[in-house]
Amino acid sequence: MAHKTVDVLLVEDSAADIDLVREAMEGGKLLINLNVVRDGEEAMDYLRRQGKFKNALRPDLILLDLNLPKKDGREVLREVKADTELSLIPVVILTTSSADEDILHSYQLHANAYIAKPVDFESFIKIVNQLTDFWLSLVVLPKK
Amino acid sequence: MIDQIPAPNFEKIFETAMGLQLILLPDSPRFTIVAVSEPYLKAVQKNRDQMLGKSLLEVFPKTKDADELIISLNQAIKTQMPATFSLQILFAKQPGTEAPEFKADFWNLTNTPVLDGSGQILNLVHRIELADPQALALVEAKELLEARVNKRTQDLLRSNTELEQFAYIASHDLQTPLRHISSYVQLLTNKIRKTNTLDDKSEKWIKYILSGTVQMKNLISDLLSYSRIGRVDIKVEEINTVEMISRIKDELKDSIHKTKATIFFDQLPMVFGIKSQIEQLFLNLIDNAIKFRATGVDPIVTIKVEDLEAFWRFSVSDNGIGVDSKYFERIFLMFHRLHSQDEYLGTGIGLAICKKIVEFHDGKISVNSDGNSGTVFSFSLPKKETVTAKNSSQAEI
Repeated sequence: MAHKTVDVLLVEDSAADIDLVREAMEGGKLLINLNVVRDGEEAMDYLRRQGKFKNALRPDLILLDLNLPKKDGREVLREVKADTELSLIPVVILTTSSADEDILHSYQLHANAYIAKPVDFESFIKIVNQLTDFWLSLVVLPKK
Repeated sequence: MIDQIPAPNFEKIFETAMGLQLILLPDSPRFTIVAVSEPYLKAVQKNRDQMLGKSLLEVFPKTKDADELIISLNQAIKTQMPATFSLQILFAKQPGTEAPEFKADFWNLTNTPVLDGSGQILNLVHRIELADPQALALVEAKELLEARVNKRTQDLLRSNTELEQFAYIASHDLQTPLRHISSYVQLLTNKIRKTNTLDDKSEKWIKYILSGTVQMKNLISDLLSYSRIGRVDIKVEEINTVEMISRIKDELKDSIHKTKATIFFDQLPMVFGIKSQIEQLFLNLIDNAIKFRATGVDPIVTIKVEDLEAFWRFSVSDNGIGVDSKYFERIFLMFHRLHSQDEYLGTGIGLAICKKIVEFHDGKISVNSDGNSGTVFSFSLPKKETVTAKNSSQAEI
């Protein structure tokens, strides 16, 4: 059964990049509730519903940048996929780098998908829409 | 008249004029010392009483050379011929003595059997001589050279790694603000367009801004590719050239279709090298061949190969606009372009990357053209046998 709104957790430290994701999601088909955390430690607190995130909603999808302050994206990915509960949430790496090592390493840590952010914004809009359509509308996710 | 010639004092001669020597009994494995020359005493810092009657092994430094010494002495006994071997000996100068200082040098030890009339061995003469100084100098020079080469190699490896790290970080950190500039210009443009205040000039200027960001993005990617070519830890393997060209044709299928290009190739041999680099090499050359086509002429790209014993010589030729001979060398330089960005898109690194790849594989690349009706790029790549032979001979050194 499809949810009316979907919850997406964006882990991203740059305000400019956060706004780009918001703009790209605007006008999309789905009603997305976008929650943002600015570093790896906050990401884990949010997912574990600790500290100031006691009432956080479990996200349907995590968009994760690799280069984050404090705990970096690779650490977050490792911890999420090592946790029996959290590993069920699809994690899409959304990052600047298109380096082979980063791509390989991410998949080795069991990222569900890897996307290198394009320089062209029109392309980015397409990517974000395809991404959310795929993971939040097309595929079937395990029940929360 | 022999009676009148005074007999030489052989004992004195032995003790003083014959260099570092010992006379031993052939009582293996003890080898009792029965005579010692002065120079030998000086060298080992002992006096005669400390040596006469003792076993040679008591005097000789207790290293693995001692085993070789025994072998040599026994060999001299067995073959009744002199036996020689070399080793490094350090004779140290004792503080406050007159003894000469000996460096750690190569010495030749010769054990010569002295026989009586009936073929029995009376004694062994154990002589120590400095090895040929020229041979010595050669060995030292070789060791010094090898040490220098090793250090140079380490420096280069480190420098290459640093360059790659630098390029990765630089490109990564450059791409983020670049993305922001490009994306927000587009967002702003969309916003302003809605107010219908964008005239033609503004639209053109916006295009310039955005193509500037695309150009930067391509430059950064190319620089990153270029910096990666120096890596030494990448797998070297046999590459199916024909399969690779098919993949390249697939990658370029849009531009091939648009320009109605045809790519011909001979039966191409397997090559030995780094797969991703060789593919980049052919890709760049074929892409160039299509890109620099003459107006109104469908591009034809021909790939041929020549067998040069230790190398394969490939040529990629086209029927495009050609290259003026005065630019034959310059076009392989980084960022050197012969045409403006408006005429032909590109960063100017493509051929520099090709050159670096070919040279990294120990080959050579060159270009030929009449400046008018087409261009031929030729480059050599070593055969597998050549590479593996070189690697194994290097391993021996």
